[in-house]
Amino acid sequence: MRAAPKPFAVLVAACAWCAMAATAVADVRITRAVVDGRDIPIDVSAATDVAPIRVPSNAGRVVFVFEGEAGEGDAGGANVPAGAADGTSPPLLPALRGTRLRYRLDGVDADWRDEPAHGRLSLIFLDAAGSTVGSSDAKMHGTSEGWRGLPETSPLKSLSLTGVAPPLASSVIVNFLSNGGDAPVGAMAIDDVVLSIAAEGREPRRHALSLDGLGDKVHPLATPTGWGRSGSRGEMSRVAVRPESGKPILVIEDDDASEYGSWVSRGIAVPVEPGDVVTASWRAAYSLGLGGRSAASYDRLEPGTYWFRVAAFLPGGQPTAAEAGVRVVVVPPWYWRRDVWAGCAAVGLVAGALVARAVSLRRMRSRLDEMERVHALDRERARIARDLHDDIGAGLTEIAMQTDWVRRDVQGLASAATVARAEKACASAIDLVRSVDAIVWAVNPANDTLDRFVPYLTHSAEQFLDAAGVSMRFDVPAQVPTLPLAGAVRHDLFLVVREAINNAVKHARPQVVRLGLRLENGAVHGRHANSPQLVITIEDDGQGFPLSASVPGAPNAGRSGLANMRRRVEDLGGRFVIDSRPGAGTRIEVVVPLETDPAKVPGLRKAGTS
Amino acid sequence: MTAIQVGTIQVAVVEDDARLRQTFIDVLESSPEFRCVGAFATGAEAVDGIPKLAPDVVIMDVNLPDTTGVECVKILAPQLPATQILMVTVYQDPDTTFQALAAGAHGYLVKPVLPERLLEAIREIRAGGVPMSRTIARKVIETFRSREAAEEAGTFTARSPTASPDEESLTSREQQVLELLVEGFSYKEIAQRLGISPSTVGTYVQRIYEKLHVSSRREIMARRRPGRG
Repeated sequence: MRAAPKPFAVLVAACAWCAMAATAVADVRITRAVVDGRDIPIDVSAATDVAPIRVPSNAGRVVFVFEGEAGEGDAGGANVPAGAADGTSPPLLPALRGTRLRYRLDGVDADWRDEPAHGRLSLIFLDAAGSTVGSSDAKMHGTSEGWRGLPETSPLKSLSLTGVAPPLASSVIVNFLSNGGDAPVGAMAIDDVVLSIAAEGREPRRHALSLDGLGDKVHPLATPTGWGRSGSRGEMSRVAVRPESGKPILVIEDDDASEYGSWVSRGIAVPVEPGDVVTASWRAAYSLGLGGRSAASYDRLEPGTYWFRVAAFLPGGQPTAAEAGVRVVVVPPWYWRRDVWAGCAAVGLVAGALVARAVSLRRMRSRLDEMERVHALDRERARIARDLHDDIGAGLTEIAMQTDWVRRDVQGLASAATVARAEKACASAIDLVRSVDAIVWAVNPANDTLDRFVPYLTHSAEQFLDAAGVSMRFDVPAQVPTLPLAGAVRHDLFLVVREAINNAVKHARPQVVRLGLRLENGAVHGRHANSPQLVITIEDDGQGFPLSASVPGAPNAGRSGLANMRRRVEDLGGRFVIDSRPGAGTRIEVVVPLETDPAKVPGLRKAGTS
Repeated sequence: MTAIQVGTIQVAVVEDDARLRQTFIDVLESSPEFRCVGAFATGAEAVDGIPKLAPDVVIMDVNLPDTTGVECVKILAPQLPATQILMVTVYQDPDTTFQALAAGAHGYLVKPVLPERLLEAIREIRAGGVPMSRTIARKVIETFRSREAAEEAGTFTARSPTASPDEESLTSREQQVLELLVEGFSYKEIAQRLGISPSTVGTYVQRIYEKLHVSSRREIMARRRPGRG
C-alpha cells in the first residue's frame, strides 16, 4: 500500500506565493535495501551520511526502497499562472510540490532515472440516460519528445485513438486524465481534440471539441464551455495559454501519487449510433513518472564504492533541493584483498600468488562481464516477450475470433469452399497464437526450472489431446524438483514433445496417448557424468509404421519431422529413441541430461515450491 | 432497443485490450440469451463497478494493466457468491489458472476463445458444469497434501473452530476422482471406472472446488491478520 501523502496545501493564493520563496523541504527517504532477499533497514533522509551498506560481491541483486512526501511549502515556483506573470496580481494556484522521485546509482547510471508512468485519454460511450456503456483508452507513457518542463512551452505531438460505439451507445465524450493505472505524478497538456465519426452509408462527421468561453485574460482555473474538471482532485486540472500562439490548452499538473486530475467533455456529448467508428485525434505534451514510494534494483554490482541517490522533482521534472543518498560498498572476495596477498608474499609465495591473482582477477572480471551481459539479455528478452504477447498475441486472438465469426455467418449461405477458407484462416491464427504463447513462455526467465516446465507440458498436451478427442494417460511424478532448465532447452523439449503428440494424433489414429516423465541418475555422455537426466516418453496404441521408412532422406513426407526431433534432442546432448512397427503403435523416448549448476543457467531465479 | 428478456444471462467483461473487449461484447450481444451489462479495461474499474452490477457471469482476463485477474477474483468472489467467474488466460499457464480457481473462479478458457466456445462455456457453468483439467487436479492434490502436512506440523493452525473437518478435507471418493484425473482419465472414463454417471463426477469436482475455496479464503484471512490464530 502506498503511504497517504499529506493533504494538499490549502487553496489560498497568498500562502502559495510565500511558499514559492521558501526553500524546498520535501522529505525524501531511502528506507531500506534488500540484498538477495535480506532486508537492511536504512532510513536516510536529506544529506545525512550514514554508515555505508556493505554488499558481498557474490550478491545477485540489490534493491533500494525509497519514498517521498511533500513538506509544507515545498515549492519550486514552476507554475506561475499566466494571469500573474506581471507580478501585480496574486498567484491563482497553489505551488506545486516536489513529489516526483528520480534515482541514480553513481558509478552505474549516467543520469537520473525516472520510472515512466501513464496518463490517459479515454473515449467514453454513454447511453441515452447518460450511463457509461463502453470505453476505449489511449495511454500517454513516460515523457513526450522535446519536453521542456512546462506543458505550455513543450512541443505537442499528434495522437489518435479509435473506438467502436457499443450497443446502446447514444453519445460519446472524452476524458483526459492523469491516471493510467500506475499512480503517476507529472504534467500533461492536450489541445485540438477532434472527434471524427464514421459509419457505413453516412458522410463522416467531424466535431472539434474547442476551448471556448475563456475570455481575454485566461484564469488558470477557468473552465472552457462544455468541459468540466473532474478526478479525485479536480483542481489539478487547469487551463494555460501557449505563449507562441496565444491559444489556450488543457493542462493537468499532478503532484500527488494517490490522487488524479481529469478534464471531461461532459457538456459536449457528440451523438453516435451503435457500430459507429469514433476516432479521437489530439495533440499532447506530457511527462509522467512515479511518486510516493518506489524501488530500484541493481544486479551483480562489481566490487567498488557506489552512491545511491534519490531526489524529489516537480511534476514537470524540475529539480528541488530535496535529496537523500547512501553509500554502497561492494566488498571484493578475499582473494582480491591486498592484505591477504601481503600475507602470501610474507610466506614467500609472491610469484605464485601474483600469477594466481592475475588469473583469478581475469576470470572474475570475465565472469562479471558475462553475468552483466546475461542480465541485459534477460531484460531484453522479457521486453520482447511482453511486446509479443501484448501486440501480436492480442491481434492474432482477435483475428481468430473474427474469422470464426465470419465462418459462422457465411455457413449455409456461401459455398463450401468459402466456409473452408474461413476455417483455414481461423485455424492458422489459432496455431500462431499457440506458437506465440510457447515462445513467450520459453523466453520468460521465471520459467527456467523443471517444476515449471512439467505442468506446462502436461497442460498443453492435455489441451491438444482433448481437442483431438483422444484419451490420454499421464505417468508423471507428484513432486518435481526445482532443477534449472534454461529457456532454449525448455523450448526444444516442448517442441519435440508437441511434434511427437501431433504425429501420433495425425498419422496413427490412436485410442490412447501416454505421456511419461521421470528423473534418472546417470550419464548420457561422459561430460555429463553423474548429472541427473530427464526421461520423457510418448507412446501411442495407433497403427505404427515401418521404421525403415523413417531414416532421414527416405521418401516419407508425413514423418519428415522425426529427423528434426532427433537433431533437436541430440543438440541438447541427449538421446532420441523411436520404436514402431505396423499395427503395434509407436514409442518415442527422449533422454536429456540436466545441468544442475544454477550459475550456468542464464536468468535462473530461485523458484519457490508454491 | 429490445427489452431485456427474463432469463437473459447478464455478463460483465474485464479485458484490457480494447479490440478484444469489443469483440467479447459483440459476441455476447449477438445472442439474445446473453446481455453484456458492463465492460471494464482495468482491475480497479472492475473491482469498483462489478459489485454494483451483480452480473450472473464475469469474463475475466488474467493479465490486466494495473493488477492481475487473480487479485480481482480474490476481491470479487467473496462479495458476489451468486456470480460465476470465468477466467480467460493467454499463456498456457496452469499456475495462474489454479490460483484463480482456488481464489473462487469457476472455470477458465484459453485464448483464442472462439465466439461459440465462449457462449458454450457460459452456458456450461450456468448449468453447473465445472471443468477441471488434469494439470489443475495435480495442483489441487498438492495443495491439500501440503496443507495437511502443515497442519500436522502445527505450522498452519488457522482452522476455524466452527468448521468441521468435513468442510475442508477431501473424502476418499473425491480423492479417488482427483487421482484418476491426474492420471489422464476424462470425466466419462472416470464415471465408467467407478460405475457412476458423468454428472456425478461433475458433482464431486464441484465439491472439491468448494472445499478449495473455503480453505483458500481462510488462508487469505489468516494471512491478513499476522500474529493471530
